[in-house]
Amino acid sequence: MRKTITTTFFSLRSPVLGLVFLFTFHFSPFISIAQTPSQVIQKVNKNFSKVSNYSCDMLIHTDISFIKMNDIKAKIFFKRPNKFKIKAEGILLLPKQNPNYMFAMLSDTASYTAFKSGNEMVNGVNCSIINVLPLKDTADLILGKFWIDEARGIILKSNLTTRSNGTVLIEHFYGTNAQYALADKLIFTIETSKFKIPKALVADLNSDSDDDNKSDAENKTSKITLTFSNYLVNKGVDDAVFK
Amino acid sequence: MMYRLLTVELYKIFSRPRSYIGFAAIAILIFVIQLAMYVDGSNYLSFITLQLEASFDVQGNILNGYLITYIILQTLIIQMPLLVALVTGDLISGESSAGTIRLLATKPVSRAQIITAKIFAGSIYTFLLVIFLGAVSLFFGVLIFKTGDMMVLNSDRISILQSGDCFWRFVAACAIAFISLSVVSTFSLMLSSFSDNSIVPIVATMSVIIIFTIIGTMDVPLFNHIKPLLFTTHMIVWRNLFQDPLKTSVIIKSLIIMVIHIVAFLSITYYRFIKKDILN
Repeated sequence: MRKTITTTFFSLRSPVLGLVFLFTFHFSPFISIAQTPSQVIQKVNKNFSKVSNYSCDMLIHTDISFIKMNDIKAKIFFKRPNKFKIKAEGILLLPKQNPNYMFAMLSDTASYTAFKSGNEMVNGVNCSIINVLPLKDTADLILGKFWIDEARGIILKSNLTTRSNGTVLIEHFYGTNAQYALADKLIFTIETSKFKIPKALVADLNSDSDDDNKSDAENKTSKITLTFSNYLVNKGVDDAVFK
Repeated sequence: MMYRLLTVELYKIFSRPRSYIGFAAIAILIFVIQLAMYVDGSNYLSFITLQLEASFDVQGNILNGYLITYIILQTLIIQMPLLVALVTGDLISGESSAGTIRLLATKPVSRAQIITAKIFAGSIYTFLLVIFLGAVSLFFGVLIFKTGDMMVLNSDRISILQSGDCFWRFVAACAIAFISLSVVSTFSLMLSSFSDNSIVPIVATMSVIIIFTIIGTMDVPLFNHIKPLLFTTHMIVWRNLFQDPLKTSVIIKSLIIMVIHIVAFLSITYYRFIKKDILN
């Protein structure tokens, strides 16, 4: 191939055409060949399919206007096909979508149709925007929008519009386990409705809540940051963990 | 002599059936609330959890002993002043109406010693009532519902305290509740020193608490200037112990105001009792 191109270049008479050809040849490794939405998703699925099981530590940080809680440490266990467990002490407030939700949904390729709606830079990476529409009316997901790094086959941002939970924006940050599409950090931005409990129910008759707290409680979005560490991928997870 | 006077006063308190009404009422209320929570607690909490579950996946034992104890404390704190006033409001006026105060005043002890013994006896009763409330509700709460992170419920927000961070808060809450109820006990004792009828100080104490509480509850701009001066506003400061971060300055300020009330009520009581003409 290279021989053919070189021969063609030297056989060109026009210097302009020659320069165009040289440019194309020189930068060809950086110009990706356009992939179909299915191919892009397939690459993500392929990365995660390398994972048959994993466990890791998880730190949950919540930034919810009407809830004050400390960071919680938890441990996550996953085993194919769909065993998933979070172990922690105390009360946990988590996004409704677990960290593997996107993979479970995208791997069922017969349940949705995908189309590309353009490209966008996310954290300095050029991403394809892939939209996913479930084929069934009964599905909780109405529309899924994924910003996917085609080169690495990882999701950098997702926007899920669901029937039960409104719109959820998820930002994905990767480290050493990007090859498995396993993120080091996920930031969920969730729409929350105004929180109000009848005062009589909590015997809060002489409430001393100040205006700052009231305005905070009316904020419409909440953030939950899940930070993962100490991944053990494909090292085996005992079934007893999931009981 | 003080010790003997105190023993006599305590004997008088605990030989009256009415002194046990408070303990019985607390025990019954704790039992009723814990039974209701055991049977239907998840339904009670669904008002809160449903709102959370609309947006989040909530995991963990929310209905645990710490939350139940907090609910009991929050519910009973409204009734506790009545139970305290029922006994302390009667300490002087009860003896006046029965005529025994004259006999007591003829003993070779000063009136200051008599009133000091009554104040200490009233404080010990209040202390035992608070300890009974805290210990019984926490013991049976943890026994039945186990421990766990505590979800502190307010009308417009929730604080989640870690399990290991709860016990000391309950101990401190009981200490502050004791100071709060000491305001009530000294207030009723002060009214008791002005009356020869045991019912009047008890009813007057409760009336004042009800009026102050209503003023504190109403969101009227005029009352906002009065509220910080009312002792009922500061009696609920123990709840700030269950906020994170701890509002230390608010707690200290309320404690100072309550202590000032106690000192003022005691000073009036001493003055009144020492100068009192005992005619009955």
